[in-house]
Amino acid sequence: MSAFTDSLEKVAAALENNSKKFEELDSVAGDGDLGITAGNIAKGLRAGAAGATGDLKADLMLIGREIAKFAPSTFGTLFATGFIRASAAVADGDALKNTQLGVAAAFEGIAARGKAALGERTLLDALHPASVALNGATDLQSGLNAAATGARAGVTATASMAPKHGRAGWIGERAQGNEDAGATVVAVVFEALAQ
Amino acid sequence: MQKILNVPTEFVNEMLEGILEAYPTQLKAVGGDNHALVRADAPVSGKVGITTGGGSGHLPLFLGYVGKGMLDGVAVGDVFQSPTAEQMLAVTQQVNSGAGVLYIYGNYGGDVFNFDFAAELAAAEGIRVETVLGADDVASAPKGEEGRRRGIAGIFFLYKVAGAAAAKGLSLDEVVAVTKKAAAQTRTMGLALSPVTLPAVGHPTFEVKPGEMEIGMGIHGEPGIRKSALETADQITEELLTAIKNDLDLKSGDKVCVLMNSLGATPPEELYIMFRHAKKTLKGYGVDVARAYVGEFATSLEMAGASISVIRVDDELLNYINTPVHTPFFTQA
Repeated sequence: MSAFTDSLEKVAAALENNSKKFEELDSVAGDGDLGITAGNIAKGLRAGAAGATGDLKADLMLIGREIAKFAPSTFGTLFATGFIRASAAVADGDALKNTQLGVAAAFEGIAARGKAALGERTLLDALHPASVALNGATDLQSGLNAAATGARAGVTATASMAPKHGRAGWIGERAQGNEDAGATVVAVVFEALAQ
Repeated sequence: MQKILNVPTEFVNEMLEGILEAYPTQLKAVGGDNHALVRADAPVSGKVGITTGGGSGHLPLFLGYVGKGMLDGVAVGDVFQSPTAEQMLAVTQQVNSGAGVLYIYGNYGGDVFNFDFAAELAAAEGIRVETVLGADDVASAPKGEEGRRRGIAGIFFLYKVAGAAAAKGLSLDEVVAVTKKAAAQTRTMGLALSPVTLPAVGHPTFEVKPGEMEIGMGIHGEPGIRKSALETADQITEELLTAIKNDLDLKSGDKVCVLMNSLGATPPEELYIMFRHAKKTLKGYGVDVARAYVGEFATSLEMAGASISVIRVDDELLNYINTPVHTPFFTQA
């Protein structure tokens, strides 16, 4: 396994190991299916890893396509969008530069597709601090460490945010006091990458 | 509401099976998924592929208009639910002959989300996709905020115009231009007299009290703009047409086509009573009805109620609307 496919496996395993947690968080405000979706995203990541060729652009696109197939829910589609936009953004640079470009493009793409802004209690509230932390780093490992810390802090902040999107948006205040399930998925991803 | 069902959760699957069995020479499923349907002869060589999609529960929308002279493919979702981007992509790949693909669908968040993603995936494969949204429901957002309006029965005219233009051999850009022109001239107003029961839910998901009507209710039960005691057919028709006239700025000398649509349970007899007064009212405005359609075109399961769609036409649009079509649910000689 390459370092890239190794990372994908780490993320897939972390998503599966935390699926119960995602389900519980999502049941408070959403329809409780985020645990299943996270498991499906893990399947997509593994299918992408199995077909990876070492061409980063092509591999990210493949992963996005596989996630779209395995996890066709709203959250899965947003996740897939992140990989597809990252695919378009990466260049021939080093791993840190490509991670910075890819995560930034994923953030922009997911915000556009989901028509969501920061502070609206979505996965963006974890992805944005992760992206900012990465951009301030000078090497990949410290960048991923900082991204994981940033994403987790973002998750903590969602507990006091009022939801505007999805089913959580209709029930309003009831979601408050709990951390957002989708943002938690993003933190788990970066924590796995930082391992 | 009593329903003829086997397993409620199989409502859409069993319906699709039945439709494919009924029209085996006209429709086919893509890759064994009955939720991705195309014309039996797709892709049509050299022709722009016209694709639509949306939730089930609105027959003949959306799949009923797949056929010669109208649509090439459709992605079918569960009741009132968007189909997936993968299903839309499968349809897109199957209807693309190299001339590109036009998506025409109603302006609903879930559908926009998935169709935009499908278009992005198609673009990555080198398939050019353009989109024109149906957003004809005057009651769903005020003038000046047309972009927020929902798409309802008026999308029929978009299908008709785009389908005819594509069949004539126009390029993707040309089909997009004329479909946008049709969309800009199309408005719909409706009213509901009863709620609907989703098969998998088993009880009405919203309320319309006996003896009342709700003007502007959406085809999924979205709240309308006015609730009141049921009025006469002529009063209702006049209220709906007045809203359309004001929004479309209809003027004496204009020529229109009219679509009088049942939401499912309202019988054609009542539609003709409404059309009789619609024709008279439009005549009073000095507006000429060049063509009329009366029947079930966009329904909401067994909802009682009706909608009036009006498209202002010039010679180009009228010519496309008058072109013959042949689909499983709609034929025009």
